Amino acid sequence: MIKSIDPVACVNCGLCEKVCPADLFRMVEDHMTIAYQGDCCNCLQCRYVCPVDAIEFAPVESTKLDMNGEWAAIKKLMGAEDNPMAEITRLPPWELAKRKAASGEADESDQNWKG
Amino acid sequence: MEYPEQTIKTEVLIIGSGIAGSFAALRARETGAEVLVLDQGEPGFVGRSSTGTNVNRVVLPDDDHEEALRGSVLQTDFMLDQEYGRECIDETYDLFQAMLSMGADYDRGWDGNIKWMMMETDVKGFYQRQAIWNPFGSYKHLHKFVTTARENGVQYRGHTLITELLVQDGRCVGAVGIDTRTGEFLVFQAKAVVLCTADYHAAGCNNIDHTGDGMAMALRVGARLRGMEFGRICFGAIWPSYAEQQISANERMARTYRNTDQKVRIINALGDEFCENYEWTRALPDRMVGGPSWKNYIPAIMKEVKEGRGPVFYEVNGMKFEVGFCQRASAQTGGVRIDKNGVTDIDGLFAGGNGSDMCGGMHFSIPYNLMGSSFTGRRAGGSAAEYIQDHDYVELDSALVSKYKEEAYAPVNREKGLTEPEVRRRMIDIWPKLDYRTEETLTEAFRELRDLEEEANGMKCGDDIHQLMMSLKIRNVVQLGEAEAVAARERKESRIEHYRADYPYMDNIHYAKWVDVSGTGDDMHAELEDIPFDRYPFKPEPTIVDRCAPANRGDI
Repeated sequence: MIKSIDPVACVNCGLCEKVCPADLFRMVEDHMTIAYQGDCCNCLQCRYVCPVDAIEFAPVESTKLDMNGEWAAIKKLMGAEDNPMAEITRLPPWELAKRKAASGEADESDQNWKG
Repeated sequence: MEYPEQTIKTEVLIIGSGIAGSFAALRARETGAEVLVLDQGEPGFVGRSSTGTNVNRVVLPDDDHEEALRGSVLQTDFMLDQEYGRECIDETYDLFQAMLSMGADYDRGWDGNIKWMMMETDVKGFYQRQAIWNPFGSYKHLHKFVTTARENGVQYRGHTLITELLVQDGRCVGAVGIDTRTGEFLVFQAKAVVLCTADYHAAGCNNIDHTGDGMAMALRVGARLRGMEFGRICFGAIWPSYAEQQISANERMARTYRNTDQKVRIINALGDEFCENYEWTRALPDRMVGGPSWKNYIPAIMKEVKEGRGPVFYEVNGMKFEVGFCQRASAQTGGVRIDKNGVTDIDGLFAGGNGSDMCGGMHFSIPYNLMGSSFTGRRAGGSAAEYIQDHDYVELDSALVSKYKEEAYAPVNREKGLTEPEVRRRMIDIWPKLDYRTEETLTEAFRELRDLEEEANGMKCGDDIHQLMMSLKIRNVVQLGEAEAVAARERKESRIEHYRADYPYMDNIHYAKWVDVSGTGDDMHAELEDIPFDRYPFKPEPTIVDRCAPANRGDI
């Protein structure tokens, strides 16, 4: 989600206001401001057009657009449960390689992740 | 608070300034008509066209057009209007040239020629030729089209949110809306109206401004929507409600599509490449996982999850992402029913682009995407220009206009009621029922959305035009959600990305038909419409197809 506009860098050119599909920006007293931060849709267009790279983004979920948990809800509707093996399969390859090495089951493909 | 009112008169009114809107405007302007294009944002910068795509599927004059049509028909599981498909495919090269002449900057090779990519599809032996422009999302190109249109004398008006179409005695005679910067109420009087609006995305997915306003407006004035059940299913993990993942997810997507060196596969919780076990997924190339043949994977994935071998992971170079199941995250969900000339059910109203259903054209087929949008837009613009030859302005019904004005500003300073984020929140809670489709869940989803719509009619927002705009738009999504539920309930089979858990087969005997939705509120209903296959070159076999069939190992 959009975080802030660097007030020092910003030249108030108005490009972000133009490209924003969610209509977030407003020019207030000759200064560009983020008026409706919560509506940000992360399209990053303002960031692409900003000539001075003044716009910062933060990895925060917008509460308005938060669809997290949808898949869990669907699984519940389905009556499906995760396989217990999923926890292990889900691990990133280096973690898997470590575990395999610890239990002495490492094979050739795990060598890539050594060290 | 009093809002001033302004009436604007134009011969052809085009709503939406994306690719479709630009082509419609240029075509209508060619005949000398007075053309005004409206957009809710800044023309040339916002909307689906500027955030949506960069792939342009072109069929060159020397290419096999018959084969291109066959591939497109099979990709859309026979939902494509083949007469439209044929004409669109024949015209893609012309449209491509038009885009080039306006300054579209396609990727070129070292020799300066267009870099053509032949994209493999799930139809055996069928490759799509495509050109790409960068960066992903194309406001740079779109802006050039808008500039060209301006130079040709097309008028533009940005920051104008159209709220309702004016239909009098069965004819569309204009539209009303709000200036999103001044709050002024705008009345547009026109001889013909062309809808070039975008499709709609669900509450939480992707873009906040793709609310399908045009589709909902057309539905309210009596037009039919077609193909609403085909919300494209996306993989929840790769394309989730992603804030932080967005950049990397897009990059991953791009690499997956384009770089054959990537090792991509789908595994289940046990680490098995289960796709090998199913007939419809086993032969597909790795890099198409989650790509154009996603429809083939859905039944297999659902079976794995349901039978306790889930969840399923999407693995890119050893990295695993849980594959969710999330309808309509990326592409189209049907739209206003049009014929190949962009004519809708309502006299004087024409449609093109993503807000129309592109005659059954679907994502990943050739007559969809940028080509479909520009084609349908151009046709709709042409039809509108023809229509105004023998139709004049109609005196606007002031009672209707003032009713719409009252409705539009009703949420302002209302004391009680839901706010826009609350409606969104409620919708997100309902959405799983619309994604996991059975008779039960769809009925329930429709019921809940109906209740929500009733409440949303009494929404409140402060004295702020941006909030008012959001409130007006979110109501459209609720309405279209209902339409989707109704359409999905009518189609008792699984086809393309429409997956019904209780009818997992593709039923070519009973459902090789279109589903049209019409009416609003409790009267909303869906009807099956026969596809005129007797006129078309490609007809489906009257069989029931099981996309979940176990692999037939005999012929390997």
